Amino acid sequence: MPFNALQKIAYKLYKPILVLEDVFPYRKRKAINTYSNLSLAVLAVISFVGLITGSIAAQQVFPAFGAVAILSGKTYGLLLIVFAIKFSLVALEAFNRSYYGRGLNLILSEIDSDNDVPVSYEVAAIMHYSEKHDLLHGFLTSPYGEDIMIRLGIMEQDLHDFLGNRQTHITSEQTTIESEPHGVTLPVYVRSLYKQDQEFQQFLFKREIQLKELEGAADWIMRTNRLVRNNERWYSRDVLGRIEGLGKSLAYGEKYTLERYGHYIINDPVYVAASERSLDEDTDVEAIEAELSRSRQANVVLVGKDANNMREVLAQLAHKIHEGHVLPPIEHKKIFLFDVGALVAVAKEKGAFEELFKKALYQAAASGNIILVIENLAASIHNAMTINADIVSLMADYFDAPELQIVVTTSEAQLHKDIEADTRMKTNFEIVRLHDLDETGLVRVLEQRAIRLEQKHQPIVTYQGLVDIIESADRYFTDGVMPDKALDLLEESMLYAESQGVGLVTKKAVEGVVAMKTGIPMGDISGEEQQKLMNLETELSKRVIGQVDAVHAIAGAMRRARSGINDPKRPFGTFLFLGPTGVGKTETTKALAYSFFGDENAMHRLDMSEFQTTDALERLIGFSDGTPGRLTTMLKEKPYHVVLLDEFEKANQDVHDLFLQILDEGQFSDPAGEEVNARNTIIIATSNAGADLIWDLAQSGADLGEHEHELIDAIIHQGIFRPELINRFDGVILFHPLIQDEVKEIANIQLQKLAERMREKGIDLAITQDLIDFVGEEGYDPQFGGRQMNRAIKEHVEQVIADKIISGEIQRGQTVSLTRKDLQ
Amino acid sequence: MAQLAFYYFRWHYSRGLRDYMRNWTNFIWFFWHFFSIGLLAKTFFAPLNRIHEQSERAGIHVEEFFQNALVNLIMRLVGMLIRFLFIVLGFLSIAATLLLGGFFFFVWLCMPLVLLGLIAAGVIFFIT
Repeated sequence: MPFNALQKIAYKLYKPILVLEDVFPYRKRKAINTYSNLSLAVLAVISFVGLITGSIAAQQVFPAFGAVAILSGKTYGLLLIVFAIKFSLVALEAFNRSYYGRGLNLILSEIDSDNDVPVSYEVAAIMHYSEKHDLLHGFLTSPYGEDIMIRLGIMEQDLHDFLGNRQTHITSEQTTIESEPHGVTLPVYVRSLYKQDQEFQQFLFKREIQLKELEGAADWIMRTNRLVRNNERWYSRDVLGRIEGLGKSLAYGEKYTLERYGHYIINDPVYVAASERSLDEDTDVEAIEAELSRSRQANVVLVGKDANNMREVLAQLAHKIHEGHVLPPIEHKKIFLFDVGALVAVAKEKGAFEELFKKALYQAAASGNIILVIENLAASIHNAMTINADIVSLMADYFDAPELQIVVTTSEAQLHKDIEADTRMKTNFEIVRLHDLDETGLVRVLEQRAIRLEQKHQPIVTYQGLVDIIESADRYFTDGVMPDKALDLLEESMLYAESQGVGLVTKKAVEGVVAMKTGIPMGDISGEEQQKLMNLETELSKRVIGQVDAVHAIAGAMRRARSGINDPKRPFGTFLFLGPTGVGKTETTKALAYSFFGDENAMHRLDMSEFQTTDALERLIGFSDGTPGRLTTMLKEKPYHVVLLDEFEKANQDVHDLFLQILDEGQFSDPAGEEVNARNTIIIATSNAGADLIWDLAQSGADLGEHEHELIDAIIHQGIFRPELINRFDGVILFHPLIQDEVKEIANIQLQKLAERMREKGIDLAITQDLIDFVGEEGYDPQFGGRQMNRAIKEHVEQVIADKIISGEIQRGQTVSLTRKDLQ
Repeated sequence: MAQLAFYYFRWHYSRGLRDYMRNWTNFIWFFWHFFSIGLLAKTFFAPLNRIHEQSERAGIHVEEFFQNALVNLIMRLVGMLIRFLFIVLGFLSIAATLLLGGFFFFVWLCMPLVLLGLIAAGVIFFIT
């Protein structure tokens, strides 16, 4: 729609209050209102004093008061005049809100209210104050435009410079505004300007802002503004409806026994948090509401990953009931969290327990307004079973009773075990599975929390920061559930920004917190880190001798992971190291752990030859009786590590299948159905499959790289690995056998390490060529490569030095030089 | 200014009146819910706090039957009395809202005169 046409519509809707704003701006009205309130209070007091003193004077008790009474008589006049002003202001505000409140999407419908408008007030105001020859300027200098730019982290000066240096301006004649079914709202208007102004696009692009972020920030500002406007309308049903009514308890019964073993969810700490959440798009709450509103068998099994999350959803339902926004059958209902454990503890034995439990259930049913919640049904059943009581049988009488509704919570795994196996429960309960919030829902939850946090802390949260918090919480924090972990990260980012003296919570602040908590390098790459990444091959080559191709491939993978362009739904990197024993595969892995996670011990090592038996898979991922698996435990305890799978070919088929999934999706499920995240790892599988062929090729002087396909084909042909498994790795890296010179180089490195250790003891070890040659020769085995190196150093060098120390031949402060003769 | 005055008065006697009526009905709606009139009327004859005595022994026991019946009757009567009080209170509030609303509706209609009257009275008070 052309700008001018839209403006006509906007004027039809809002012209009166736009004129009011021109003539008598809100700020002025507010100031006058404050003064008139003050004046009214003062004049009322004086008038009252006048009345009293007047009557005292009239009664001849204290005639001097007569003068005061005459003076205060004038205040009556002033009082009436100020009252008239106040009355006019109230009327003007009513006039303003009458238009200003259009299109607010009220939850409780009111008589004759206009919820849908073709253009929102914010847009009308921006259009009204925009110069016809420069619409972008009008938008960016409006209060809404300024707020949006702040939420995008754009500084005032930056914006000012941009506005001053533009070449082109978009005018009202050439601009069209998109229209949408919900009318032209702030995000729609902003999108239209963005699409038609190339310079504005460029300006934002340079600051890593695209249309999605711009619209998101505009949406945030719009919703915040509407919330404020809605709350200003204290006389609306939405606000009045929140006041709790009287007399509701009179309609329902007393519940002494029930109330001793549990509490109402509105008294639970989670209720406060839940009531602050937006309910408009929560489908889980609606699903529970719908099931509970059925006339019979209105019981629910709530299935979710996290107990707190499930309690919070129930608290949201309680909040919805409290506000009166629910279906009639569950109006006035109270959600009660029943604690079976507490009842077991008090009753101690079966007879007493059953009596109390029945009584509590009877009261809940007789009361008529109870939704009884038993959290973690499996644990409750188990708890009661310790005294041989069967709570499901005790409850069964009420499953079909309309007076009592029961909600039980459980995990997916327990659902199959406890509920689906029990026909009574299966027929009388409906399953509601909690969904993970999608990104839009998460953004909204975080937006509301951000605004509240901003009242306590200095920094302002940018929209990009918010989105980054959601992505990072999902990707890097494997423990906990959404949105809780995102909310925690938001608060930590806020505190981090505050401690750093930064005014905005941007992507950088979030990355700072994530890097601090996980050890994963993040954020912009610059300075020392940039140099380190550029020269990674050189750095790695100092530790990994002779494996140029391997070093090159690893360095490339690391740079990809660090730059953030890799797939976030897979591990940082996955490699299959092929080659004979003792050629540096493990050393490369250590070097990688050091370079990426800053610690060469940031490595989980699994000897895959231990996983050949039929229970291998269970030992890795866990047993169905709840015994955790090694891999699961490792990843849960330390998710930011290199996972080294030694002798990968020796693991059985089931284990290979497991890794097929991990390499592909970066996660797997344990027997309890819980997802285990392996996306924050680098997975290295080593194998000496094809070592013979590598050896032969190396002997013939062939370039291994050229024969890679041939080698892999041979391995597949021998049935060691399936082709799909090999293809899942980011890279297959071939390690060639070491030649004598490379072995000597390794000997030198190992001897340097020994010398370092000896220096700490006050003895200097001279590393001569003779020593290097000797260790190189002793430590090298064509079959085992450099694996014997450490043993050679221990047996020949360390032993000799130790003997010399004990015999007193070497003293502290001396330099030791060993000859071939000493060593043999 | 003239434009504003025009817009204002047009609103005052059109949309303004509609807004007034809407808010007025909102308050009536509020008191209806605040005193739970609908709910209490529906459960008007139920015993107080749903306290209900019944025999737990098998067989017919005349004395116990009449004892329980008496207790239940009293509970119902007390329940009815308390609910009746709440309902009356609710209706009184609604009646007050109707009356006050009506009065202010009249004030709203005469507002220009009321304002002029207030100012004139104020000036007279001040001078004399």
